[in-house]
This record gives sequence, structure tokens and C-alpha cells, in this order.
Amino acid sequence: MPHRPLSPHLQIYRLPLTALLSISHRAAGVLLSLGNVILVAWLVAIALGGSGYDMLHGWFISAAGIGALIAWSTALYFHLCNGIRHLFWDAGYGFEAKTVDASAMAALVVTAVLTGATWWILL
Amino acid sequence: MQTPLSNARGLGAAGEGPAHWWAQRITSVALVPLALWLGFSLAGLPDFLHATVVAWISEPWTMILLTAFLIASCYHMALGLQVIVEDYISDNTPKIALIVLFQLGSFSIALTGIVAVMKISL
Repeated sequence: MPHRPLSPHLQIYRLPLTALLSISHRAAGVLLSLGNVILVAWLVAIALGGSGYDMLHGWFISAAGIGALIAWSTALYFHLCNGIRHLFWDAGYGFEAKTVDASAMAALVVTAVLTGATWWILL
Repeated sequence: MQTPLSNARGLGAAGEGPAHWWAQRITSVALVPLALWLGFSLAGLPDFLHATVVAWISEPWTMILLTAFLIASCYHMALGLQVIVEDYISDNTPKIALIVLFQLGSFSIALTGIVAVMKISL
């Protein structure tokens, strides 16, 4: 089967905010998929208990672990907020250019608020 | 899944597309409260020591919501990853192989997670 080239979108075009958020939504989804694997690994570690859990716990409170958790929580809230934008579009609302830009900003702001609130509560 | 008009005309979507579309939307709606609950519940824990997390997971509400989250998110994840594969991989062999892998993998993740929750709590 012949190799069908993809348009080199990400490497060439300067993306408007909407497009940037769109690909970020997909990237966040992939990150969250990995996050689910780690979430379940965490649950298994809890179920098994003992030194295995302590090791995983140690990694989670390390700088790398905290960084990963911040990335995961940001991805979670962003995917959630942008996902709600998608649900409105699916219902047929919000396609006017000004509304799209406004909802883009709203999604980013709410993401920041939710992430900030979560980490403020945690720490 | 068929629209009423397609039913009347005897036609309709040839494949499973609309069903996939709906499943994605329904799991999304379920995941809005579930994801918010997960994020803020984890944030509210005093620490992440073994005893603390075991106690939290053993609470009935946590069991229910965490299991619901695992089911909804793994289903949503399987559908989303399938769309990504379909978008970027046109060659049938790797495309189908990856889709099957992601479906089985998502199911395994959900199952493992749910069994872990049960083992911890019961």
C-alpha cells in the first residue's frame, strides 16, 4: 500500500489559538491515557502494600514525581474544560468566531484556576 | 445506530461511527463530575501514606466513584486513542494492530484498577 503523506501541519503553519488548543486537547488526552496506566499502577501498589508502595510513594513526592503530577492535573483540567467546549459545539452552539475565541480564553482561565486550586489545597 | 430518517429510507451509517460518537460524548459528560471529584479528592487527602489511601479508597463513595471513573475514562480513552490511530496511520496492518492493542489495553487497565479497588476495600 503506498505511503500516504500527511500535510505537515504542526511543522509549518503558525497555528491560531483555536488550532493550538485543538492539538493540545489531543495531546492532553494521550498524556491522560498514560496517566490512567500510572493511576492503576498506583492502585495495584496500594493493594499489594508494603515496600513496593513505599517506593512508588517516594517517587511521587520527589521533584520528578511532583512535576509529573502537576503535568497530569493540568492535562486533566485542560482536557475537561476544552472538552466542555467540544460538547457545546456538538450541541450546535458557539461557532461564531468571537465566541470561539472567548471560549478558548475561558477554557484556559478555568484550567489555570482549577489546577491552581487543586495544588493550593494539596500543599 | 440509525437516525429516524435513515431508518425510514432504509439506509443509514454503514459502520459503527455514530455509536462511537455518542459513546464518546456520553463518557465525556460522565467524566466531567468524575474527573473534578478525583482531582479535588486527591488534593484533599492529608497525605499519601499507605494507611491514609487505604482508608480513603475503602469509603463506599470512593469505591463507587473511583470504579465509575475507571470505567468511563478507560472507555473514553479507548475511543479517543482509536481516533488518533485512524487519523495518523493509513496502512491497514499497523492501524488495526494498534487499535486492537489499545482496546485490549484499555479494558485490561480498567479491569486491573477495579480489582485493585476491590482488593483494597474488601
